[in-house]
Amino acid sequence: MEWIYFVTCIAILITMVLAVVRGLAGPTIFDRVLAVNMFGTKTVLFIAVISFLTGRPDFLDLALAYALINFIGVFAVLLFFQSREVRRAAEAEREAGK
Amino acid sequence: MMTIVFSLFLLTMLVIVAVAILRTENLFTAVMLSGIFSLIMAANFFVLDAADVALTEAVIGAGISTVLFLGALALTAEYDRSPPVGTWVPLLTSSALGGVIIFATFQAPRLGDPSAIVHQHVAPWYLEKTPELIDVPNVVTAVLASFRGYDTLGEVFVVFTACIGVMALLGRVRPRRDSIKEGEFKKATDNLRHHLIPRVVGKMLVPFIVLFGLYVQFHGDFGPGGGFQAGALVAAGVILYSLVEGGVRGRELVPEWFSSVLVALGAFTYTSVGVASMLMGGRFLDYSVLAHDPVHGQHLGILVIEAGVGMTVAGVMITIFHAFSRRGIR
Amino acid sequence: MHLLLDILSAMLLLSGAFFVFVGGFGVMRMPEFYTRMHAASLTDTGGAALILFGLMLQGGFTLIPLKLAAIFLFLFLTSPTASYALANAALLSGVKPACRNETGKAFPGEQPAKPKPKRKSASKAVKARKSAPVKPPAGKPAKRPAKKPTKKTARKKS
Repeated sequence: MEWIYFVTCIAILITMVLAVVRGLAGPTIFDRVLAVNMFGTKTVLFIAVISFLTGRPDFLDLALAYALINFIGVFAVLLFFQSREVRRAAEAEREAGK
Repeated sequence: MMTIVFSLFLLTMLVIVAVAILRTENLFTAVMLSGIFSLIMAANFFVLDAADVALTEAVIGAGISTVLFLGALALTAEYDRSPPVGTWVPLLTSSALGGVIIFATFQAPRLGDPSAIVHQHVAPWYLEKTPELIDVPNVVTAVLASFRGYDTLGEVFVVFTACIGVMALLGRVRPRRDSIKEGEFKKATDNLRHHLIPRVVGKMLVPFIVLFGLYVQFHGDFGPGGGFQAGALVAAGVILYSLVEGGVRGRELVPEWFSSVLVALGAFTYTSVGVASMLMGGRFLDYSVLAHDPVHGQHLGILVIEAGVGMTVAGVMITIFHAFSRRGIR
Repeated sequence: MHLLLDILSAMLLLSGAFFVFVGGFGVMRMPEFYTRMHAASLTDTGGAALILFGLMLQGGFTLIPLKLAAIFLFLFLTSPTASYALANAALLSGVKPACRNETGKAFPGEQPAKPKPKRKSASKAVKARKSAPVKPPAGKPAKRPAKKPTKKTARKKS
């Protein structure tokens, strides 16, 4: 059983690396947000598997906290772009009005 | 062995991401990469068995700091300006300092070496005496709240001072602009209410986040957690509500006066436990005198000061978020 | 029985690991943002579910499977929501999906049709903004904007 946990861990770690690469390379900023979001989910899984691998499953609280908290940032991103678009449109309109 | 492999893996990623954060000029990118940074850091803390720190890093680094950074970014320009001074002197200074630190690590003991100095000094004493003197399963909580109560008090006041500093910078907005902001435009742009899915899911999860925060608060004696993490989690719940429903409604849920009172009240609670223990004949923050049984006294003291810490942290986070959301366009 | 559980959870874990890896690969290799998001969001939920179910079988009759189930439930709710929010943010700020049919040409109605509803909501907000500007140009108060807030406050008072 141990080595299966280990293999799963390695797969998740490699996926993390791929996500980081996308976060570093990503042509648009949304690719980076995507990388962060994906990395967060992978961290939840990584912690869950690691806590079984090291035989301390009572630390699953942490993964629970991650699963609950991780998506708040994406909401903030949506709000940020929403307000920025509105602001830009309003500015453009005011320019046109002048 | 496994720990070292995973740790090396994560730390290498950490260095790469850190360099990328330094090199990028787009501040939004920097914010996102720092989100990845803190997630890597939290995973690494977990691999090294530091569950309490990992929980703090997860809640604050991955959840709240991204929101606050974006709030700050909405108030400023989007691109970093290159520094006006020459880069030679800072480069030389930091590389000299880095060289010294790297040189020092050659002397550092191996990871997990039982003969290392940290494991010889007071750590065995803490581990040995915690069941007898304090009797809580989580030694970290015992060290944090009781043995090292002064340090934690200092930390609480650091957080408190930071909140005062942020409020001095962001402060209250002038009433003229404010009255317009509470108007129609503000309502149209500072919330996600017309996005149905985030609204429903977000509001559904708020009670769970707050409940989990309370669990972490009161379960801190037994598992990872305590006042700091719980305060941040509760604040995250409030922040999620304000993101979804808009800053105006968020301020109706937790008014600004309430969150600032909470900041002061938490620090006051902590300090007054210390004063109470002095009045009852002990030393400052010596909880053993608070009840007839010393161990009981310790439990009571830890419970109350953790509540104080939680109140302060939650209050600070909510206050800062409210300051941003009131100030910014969002 | 024990062996059966082990084999089952090993299968679930390994397939979950495979899906997670495929998702990472997709995020790496897909040509543009929305397809990458497709890869990431699907495998985020699917792979996570497989891995968590695999771990659940190893937990025994304790609190652990319940905690794992809670993690699964929250991930199942939050991960698609986050994808929705992210796609919306991208669409809102004008990242267009690259739509092509078999002949390699863009669909006639596809590209403008998708961002349109979002644009509408944005312009609605703009209208609202017009009626109550944040920074009215100093010295010359515009007539229409000045009118509306007073009306509103009057209504509020009555």
